[in-house]
Amino acid sequence: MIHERRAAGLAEPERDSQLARAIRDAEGPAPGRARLELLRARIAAAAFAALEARRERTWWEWTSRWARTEVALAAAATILAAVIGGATTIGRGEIMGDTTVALTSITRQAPGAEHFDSVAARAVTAAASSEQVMNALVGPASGEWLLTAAVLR
Amino acid sequence: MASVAARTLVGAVAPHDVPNLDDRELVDRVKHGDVTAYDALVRRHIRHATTIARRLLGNVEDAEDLVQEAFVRALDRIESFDDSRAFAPWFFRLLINAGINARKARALRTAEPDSGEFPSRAANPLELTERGEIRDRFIAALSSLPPRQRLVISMFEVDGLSTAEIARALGITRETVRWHHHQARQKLRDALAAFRE
Repeated sequence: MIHERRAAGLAEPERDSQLARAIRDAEGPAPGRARLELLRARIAAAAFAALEARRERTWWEWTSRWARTEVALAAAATILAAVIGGATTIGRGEIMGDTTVALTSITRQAPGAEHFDSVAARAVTAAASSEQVMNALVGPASGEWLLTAAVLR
Repeated sequence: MASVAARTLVGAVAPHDVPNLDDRELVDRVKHGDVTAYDALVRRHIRHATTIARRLLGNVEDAEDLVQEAFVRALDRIESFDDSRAFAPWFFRLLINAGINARKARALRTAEPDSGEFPSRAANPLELTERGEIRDRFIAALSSLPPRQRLVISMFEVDGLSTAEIARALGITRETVRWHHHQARQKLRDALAAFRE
C-alpha cells in the first residue's frame, strides 16, 4: 500500500492534549449505566433463540456422542448375559449331571433319605425328562398320588 | 469440548463463577449455548463497543443498533472464532466492518452528538459565538473523516491506546495506523486553522 510506504517514515505520534479535549467534547459524555443496561437486555433478548438452539444442539451432540458408548456397553451386557444364561441351557446332559450331583449332596444329608436318593438318582441317570424327574421328586402335578398314598396307609 | 458440554449441561460451574472466566473460556461456553457466559461477554465489552459505534455512526440510536447487531452477529459466527487468539480484536473488527457497511447503506439520522460543550469560560458574546463556530466546524471536520481515520484519532488521542494496540484492535498494521492518525490530525488542524490565526 502506498500509504504504508509513506507511513514507514512517520515516527510514533506525540499525543495532543488539546486535540484530545476537543474530540472528547465533540463526542459528548459516554452512555450512562442505565442506558447500557437497557441495551444489554435488548441484546440478551435478541440472542436468546440462537443460544437456545445451540443448547439443544449441544445436548443432542452430547447424547449422540455417548450413545456410541451406551450401545457398546449394552452389547457387552447382552453378550455377558448370554454367556451366563447359556450355562443353564447348554444341554440336557449337563443339566442332568449337575442335578444328580446336587441331589446326591442334598439327600445324603437328610435322615432316611436312601430311598429318595435312589429314586431321584435313577430318574436323573435314566435320562428322564424334566417332568419325570420332578414327578419322582415331589410327585405328579395332579395330586392324586397323595390321596392314594393316604388311603393305602 | 466434551467436558465443557457436560459441565454446561449439568451446571457444574455456578453462574456467579462465570464473570471470573477469561474471554476464551466464555466463548467456549457460548458455543454450547450458555446464556450466562454470553451475558458476561456482552457486559465486558458493551461500553467500549458503544463508544466505537458512536464514533463510527455519530448518534446514540444508530450506535446502539449497531452494537446489538454486532453482538448477535458474533454469536452467529462464533464457530469461526479462532480459540488461539483474543476475542476482543475479533469482535471489534466485526463491529467496525458492520459499522462501515452501515454508514454506506443507511441513511443516517443527523450526526449531531447528544450533548457536550466546550468549556464555557467565555464571558462575552463574541467569544461565545466564536467558540460555537469553532465547535461546529470541528464537529463537521471530525464527522467527515473516513471511518478508520475517525477511529484511529479517537483511540489514540482520547482512549490513550498505542499505535500497536490500535493496530491489533482494527486488524491493520502499525504503519497504517500512523498514516490514518497523521491524515486525521492534519484535517482537523486545517479545519481549525482559520480560528487560530
